[in-house]
Amino acid sequence: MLTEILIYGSVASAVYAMLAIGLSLMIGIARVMNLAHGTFYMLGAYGVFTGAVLLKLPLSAAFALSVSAVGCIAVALNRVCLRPLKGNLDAMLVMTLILALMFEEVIQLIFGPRPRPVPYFVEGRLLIFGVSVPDQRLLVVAVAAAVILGLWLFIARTRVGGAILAVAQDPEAAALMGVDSGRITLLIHFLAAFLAAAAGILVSPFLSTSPGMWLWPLVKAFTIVILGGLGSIWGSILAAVILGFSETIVSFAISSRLTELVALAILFLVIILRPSGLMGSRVGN
Amino acid sequence: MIGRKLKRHGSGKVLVFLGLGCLLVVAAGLLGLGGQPAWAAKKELRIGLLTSFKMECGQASINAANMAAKELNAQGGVLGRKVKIFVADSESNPEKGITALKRLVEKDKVHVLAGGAMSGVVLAAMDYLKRYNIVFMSTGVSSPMIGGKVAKDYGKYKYQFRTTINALNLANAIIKDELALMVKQGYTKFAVLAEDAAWNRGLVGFLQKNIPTVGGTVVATEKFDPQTADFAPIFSKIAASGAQVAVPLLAHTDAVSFFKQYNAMKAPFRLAGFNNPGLHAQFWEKTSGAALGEVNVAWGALIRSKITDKTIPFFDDYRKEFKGAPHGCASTTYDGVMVLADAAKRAKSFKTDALIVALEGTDYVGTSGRVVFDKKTHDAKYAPEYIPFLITQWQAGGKWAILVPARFATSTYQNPPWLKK
Amino acid sequence: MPIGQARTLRDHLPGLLGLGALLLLPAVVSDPYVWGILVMANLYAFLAAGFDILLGYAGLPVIGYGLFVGVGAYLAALLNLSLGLPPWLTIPLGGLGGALFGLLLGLSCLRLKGLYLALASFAAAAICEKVVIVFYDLTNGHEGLSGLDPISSYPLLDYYLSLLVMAAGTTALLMVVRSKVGLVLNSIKDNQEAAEAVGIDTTRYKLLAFVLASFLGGVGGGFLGHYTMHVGPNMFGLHIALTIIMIAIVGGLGTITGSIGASYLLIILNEALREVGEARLLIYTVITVVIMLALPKGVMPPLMNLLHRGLRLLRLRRRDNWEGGLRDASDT
Repeated sequence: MLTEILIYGSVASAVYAMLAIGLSLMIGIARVMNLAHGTFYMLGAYGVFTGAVLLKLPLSAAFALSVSAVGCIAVALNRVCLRPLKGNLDAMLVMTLILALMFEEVIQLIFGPRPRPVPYFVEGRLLIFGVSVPDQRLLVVAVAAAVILGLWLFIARTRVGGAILAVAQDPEAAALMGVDSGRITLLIHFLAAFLAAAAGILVSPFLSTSPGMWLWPLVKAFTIVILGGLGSIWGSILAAVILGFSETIVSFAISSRLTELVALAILFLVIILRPSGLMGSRVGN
Repeated sequence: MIGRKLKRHGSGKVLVFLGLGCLLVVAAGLLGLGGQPAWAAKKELRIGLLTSFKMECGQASINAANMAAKELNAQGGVLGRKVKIFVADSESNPEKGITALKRLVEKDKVHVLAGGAMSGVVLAAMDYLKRYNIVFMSTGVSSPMIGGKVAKDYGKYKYQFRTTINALNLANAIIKDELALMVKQGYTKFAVLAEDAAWNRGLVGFLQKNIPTVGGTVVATEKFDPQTADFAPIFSKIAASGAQVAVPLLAHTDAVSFFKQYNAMKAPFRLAGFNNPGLHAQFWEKTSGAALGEVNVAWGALIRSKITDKTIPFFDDYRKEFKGAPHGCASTTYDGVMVLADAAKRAKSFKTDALIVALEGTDYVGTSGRVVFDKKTHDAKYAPEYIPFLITQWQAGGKWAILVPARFATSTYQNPPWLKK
Repeated sequence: MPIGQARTLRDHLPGLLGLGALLLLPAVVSDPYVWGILVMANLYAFLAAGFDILLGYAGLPVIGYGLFVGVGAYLAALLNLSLGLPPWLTIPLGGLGGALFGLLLGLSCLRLKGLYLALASFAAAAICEKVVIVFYDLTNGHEGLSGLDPISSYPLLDYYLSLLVMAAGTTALLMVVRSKVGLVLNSIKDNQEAAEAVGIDTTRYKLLAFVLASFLGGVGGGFLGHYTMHVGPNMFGLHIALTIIMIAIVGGLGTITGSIGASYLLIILNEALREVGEARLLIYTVITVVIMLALPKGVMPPLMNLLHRGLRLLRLRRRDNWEGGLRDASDT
């Protein structure tokens, strides 16, 4: 039982980390309270379904197409729907939530309401301490680790990354130094959507795709961002691990019916009792 | 603020146009609400099909009802009236279902109702039948509470009939036919794996109580939310319990994911239970063959087998017309419409009271067997001499085999390839 | 409309005309099916007006507004089914139940605004929804409770009762927001610290907004439950809450009356679009997004401005600016 919890807890944590890091960047740097973040996860999954199943492209091509398309959608949404509301946080919250609902309807219209299956990227399974684990789930952990490491290198080692950090720390000083914060905002949108879409793509073979699949990842991503507190990628990763493992433990030890209650309870209690999260500071206002 | 920006550019006109545009749309909408003229309703037999468009069962019901109407009309209709099907989407949601029901009765002015794809919707709808004085032929829901309500308050709920199974009959078939078969293969340790829903409430306790009567033991019971997407923890728990056979009870769960995850894990137990979304010949392709080894309870014209003289023609016609084999709800809906027509012919009337009397006297051979309604519950009788249950299995190469009863059997039980005897 | 200025009959003219039109509507449209749709329009107008107090006046984005609707509906259903209380008792009691939850949520979220409040309220509503599903012995799980007593057995009476509830609710809210309370709520929305600095007990007023809105939510939920004779866990959910929010936004936040117009517009549109089929909610959301971008104050204020401009042309009355929108007047 312990081995199972370790394995499935890691898979869940990896997915949550990818979702939450993007959202954390979005809120911390682009100052956008994006309730449409789960939508990128859903669009990523449908993108790979379209590419790999409908257009019969090779998987790598479908993956690349899907993440870049979702990234561009995120950028477009920012330009068209969010920029005009800039500065009005409440309007932004409502707008992004309605956009999420709108995309659910668009997807339902195009692909139908029923789940659409995506084939496994890798077949086979591995025996770890007597527990049989499908390779697809291990792939999730591996890709998530690689993507997060890549992102960290990008931010820590490149000039653009330096600009992002500068905007995160002090937008006005960064602007004085000649950083175009508008461009950084768009880049952050692209990156956040990229990460969420990648998470959606990786889980689509075993979770299927359905138009309503955006909601719970959204809730969990926010739970993690708030639990981890803003400020560092590491806070989000730590919180993702906490949530991933507590959910897995609850579903093994008590009942899988309660997994979503875990995230909700953490979200509610953290907001009420310790809004600044484990590390870092409060968001927005 | 953008409002300020717009105002500077003379937004007044934009506002007027927008407002007018909205009003125009509303006006057009109101015209659409006009409803059906009463004279047209008198020349037709209108059947309102209330079902969930997004479920397999719903789509199959719509197809089958239209097919039945077409055939009845080709024979000159019912009592000289053409049969016309009106559909409304319950959206798998009781509140929306009631709005849809009101629309069928008040706007489309249907004479009888049929369909249902979710027990909660039908249970909520039953309270409206007396008020509207209209018969409801349930063709896709299996909660025992539906028949139970009819038995308990006949005066209020006598309007409700059902051609599809009552989950209690299903439970009997699972125990006596399906699990007894597994015990005969030497597997006695069972785990009940049930989604949380109205239709199978009571079923879980029934299985726990009655599995020992055929020589098995229940080593684990797990209930899960039908919206569950990740079944790995559940499967791991069942595997850890040492169960040899898991008994899934699925209707609203994403069964494709369920089977894909089961197969990818090569879980160390067999699946033999009831999987409603899997009552479909295309289930094999949808799961990319992951359904291999699944034992399921079926009925009606799902598999091309000669249950009655009507089964194979129905199966072939349906497959030809809709480019795919019928789902479980297809033959029950087709039979349901035919039974309604048959009752109207015998009653020589479309009046609700006369129809109810005629329906209670129904003895009609349909595509799934002989339809006779129980006097107390208004449920069609499911038994070898009425509508038989079939125990089926997905076998190598995508063959959907019948294992039980012997007179229809096409194969014998085979383990999934990764499980030895 | 400046606070404290005496109102003449003329100031109430648009409202009275509207009420008169709604009273006479059944004489023009004699289809019980349409009356049924209008009942829903009245109910959603009532609910959206309640939400307007929170977001439009106090600046509290309570996305989990479904919590109050669900609590009111389930409380009314349980009282009706197990104790046999009649609807005219269970609906107000449902409102009180909603108000109690509003008070509790308000107390636990006192210092929260924006994103945090939105998420906390969503989580509270979703937790209740899950609890209702998991404890199905009492609540019957996903399928909900059916067999509630109907509001009445006559569609026309249903319509008038819903109109009565809607008119009473919105009038009461208008009286509240046109009193000092409305001003204080607006000042809290703009700058809570500043309001506190001048000695306003912001806690009391915020709680008042929560209690008012959640009472309306509970009454609306109870009425909805009795009207459809059924309550289900999705009443707590995001879809119903979002429908309410969209109506409040399309009508114009901070107007109360805007909700009525928008509700009639959107609910009737929704029903008419059934013919189109599955694209209904999509059109709904697109309309809302377009209106948020093009008319940040919603449809109603510009429409009323036009009306007043017309009236002024006819030299019927002097006009005041209609305010509204997500930001208050000082912003525009």
